[in-house]
Amino acid sequence: MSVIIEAKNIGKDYFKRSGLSANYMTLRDTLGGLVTGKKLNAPQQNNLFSALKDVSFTIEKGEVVGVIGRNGAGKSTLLKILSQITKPTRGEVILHGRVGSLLEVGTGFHPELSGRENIFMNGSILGMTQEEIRSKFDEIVDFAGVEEFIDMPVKRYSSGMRMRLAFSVAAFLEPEIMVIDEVLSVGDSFFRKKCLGKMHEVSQQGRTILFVSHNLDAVRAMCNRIIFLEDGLIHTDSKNVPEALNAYMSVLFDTNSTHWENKESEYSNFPVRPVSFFISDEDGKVAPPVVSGDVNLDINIIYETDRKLGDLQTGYALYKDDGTLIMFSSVRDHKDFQWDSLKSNQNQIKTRLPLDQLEDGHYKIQLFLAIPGEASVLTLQNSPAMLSLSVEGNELRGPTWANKMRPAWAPVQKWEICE
Amino acid sequence: MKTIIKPQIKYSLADNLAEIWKYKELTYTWAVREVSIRYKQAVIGTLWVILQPLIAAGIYTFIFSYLAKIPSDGAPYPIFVLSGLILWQFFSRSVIDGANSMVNNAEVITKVYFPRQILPLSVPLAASIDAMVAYTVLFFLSLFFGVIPGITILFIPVIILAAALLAFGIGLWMAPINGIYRDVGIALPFLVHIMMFLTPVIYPVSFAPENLQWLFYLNPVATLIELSRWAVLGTDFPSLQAIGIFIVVLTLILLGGLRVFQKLETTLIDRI
Repeated sequence: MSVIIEAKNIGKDYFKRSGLSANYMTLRDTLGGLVTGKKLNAPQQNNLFSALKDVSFTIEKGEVVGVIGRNGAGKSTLLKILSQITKPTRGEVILHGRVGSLLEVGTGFHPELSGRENIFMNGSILGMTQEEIRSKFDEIVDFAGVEEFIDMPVKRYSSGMRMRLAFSVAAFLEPEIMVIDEVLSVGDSFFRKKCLGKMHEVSQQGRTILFVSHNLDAVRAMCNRIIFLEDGLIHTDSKNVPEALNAYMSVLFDTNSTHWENKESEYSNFPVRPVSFFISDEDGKVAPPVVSGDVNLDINIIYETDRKLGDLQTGYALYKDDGTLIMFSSVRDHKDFQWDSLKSNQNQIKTRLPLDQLEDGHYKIQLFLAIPGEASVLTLQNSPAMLSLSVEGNELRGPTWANKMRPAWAPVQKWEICE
Repeated sequence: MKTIIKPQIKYSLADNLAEIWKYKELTYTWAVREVSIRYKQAVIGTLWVILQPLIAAGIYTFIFSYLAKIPSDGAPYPIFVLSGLILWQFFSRSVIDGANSMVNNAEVITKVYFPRQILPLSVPLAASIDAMVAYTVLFFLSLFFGVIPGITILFIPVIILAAALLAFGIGLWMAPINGIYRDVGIALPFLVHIMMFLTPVIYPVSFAPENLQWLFYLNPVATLIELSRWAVLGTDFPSLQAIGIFIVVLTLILLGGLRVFQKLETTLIDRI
């Protein structure tokens, strides 16, 4: 086995920016800064944040490495450095092979161009020669299943067709090193499976793949090594995939609180953003971490938007401490939800937690938040908004309550005697 | 193949040019893309390239020749103005689109690697197609006005190439600066418009006071316009000083541009 990627102590700092619109600056600001003596441009220590702190690893030819970690752990930055899109601030990477990066499928696609033209455009952006694309053209079109529409402008394609076409071009790339970022999170499940199959095939040919995903099932199925990033550093780097995934799960679920807040104001580029997520008692106060099963508690979600939403997929998922999903509940569940009463900026919504139906034990409660068809902000795969609650005892239970049976669902139901 | 990714690499002009050359196919594809998108979005498509110079010539002739009585050194004014205007429009469009080339393609350049220089490079390449068509229109219009262009007309592609290199050089400076300071992109079309009146596009050099005419030598675009008039109308070839200054300025802008671009590239990608 020969080494194909060597990363030595790489780090990357970015300037911190506050506010939504401040990701670029104006010459006026800088000139104004010169006059007032404030140097906006100067790197100030507290203005920098390290997306990657100090990361070293070597990857051998043919390895399929899953890069996992929470949002903001540095995964995308790492991939951007490996695919030469940006330079590291520290350290160096040596690549012994051609890198093909797939940080987004359909890069360079233009709606006015036909499917055919877009295949050529996208292929050459991804590093294929015209000759290569010509020789694989039929296979690409066939894989995407868009033969009839190939000379139609892509703007008339359905989003599914566009996605399939984009992925198909990428699937026929043949670089020695393939860098893939969360591209499988879209598309219908049939096509997703087909893609995973194709990627598996690619890895069988001895190509090296680096695969970032929140989809742990895909990671488990494909990868033979895991690099788990946490806070800009390598938390776990292991060839024991299940073990590494468990390490990740335990970090992801490691909370001991009935209150979660979006402190880093992450997710700022999403149309809907979580603010806080907590369990409250009947007075609206944050509930203690240990409660008895007969009290009334509410799950509260506070989120922000920039507009009035007509549809929203938010709610919570409830897990037992061994990770078994017991239930989830969403605002969309009940037909009577008052969509018209939602405000256009910040909303707080709540629902009663069915505590009386829970067996004694520890529970995890995870927030999910999405605008269907538009943005998946927090999903069951990636949401760090996780609360924990211990239920101990329920006054309503009879003395012979079958405690040892430990069912997943344990409603305390009242029985009646028939006449 | 071995690639080393480091915070700073030593700048080398040869490496820089070699990298651009390596991606010549993508440059070409990108230019073709720009051309196709332009014509697919226009309702009358290709016809527009032919109509545009004709309409412009009509309007300019009416305003500057008929109303303002600007002289044209003996040539019919429509032919005179077009012989400058086509090259000017090619140049100004290349500069403005070149300056926007990184911002407009932010999505692409933050997702995939290729030498980003090819974006400002593909802009004048795409625009040169239009310029060639417009010159062809001008050729037939000249015949219509009874002006028969000499053999010098064959130099037009060379002149377009020189203008393309100048526009590329300026694009290399402006594209990353525009990405970091967005207001540059807003101010640039305005500046370019002012430049047009400081360049002998709608008026001949002789229209300016004689003691100020030397100023045109310092303006590389003025020299290009004079070259275009020489090729189409057979006017005097620009002076050797003007050509010399043009070559020096072009070289400085190009070499400086390649350097500046490389230096600002990473900052731009991180901020865009």
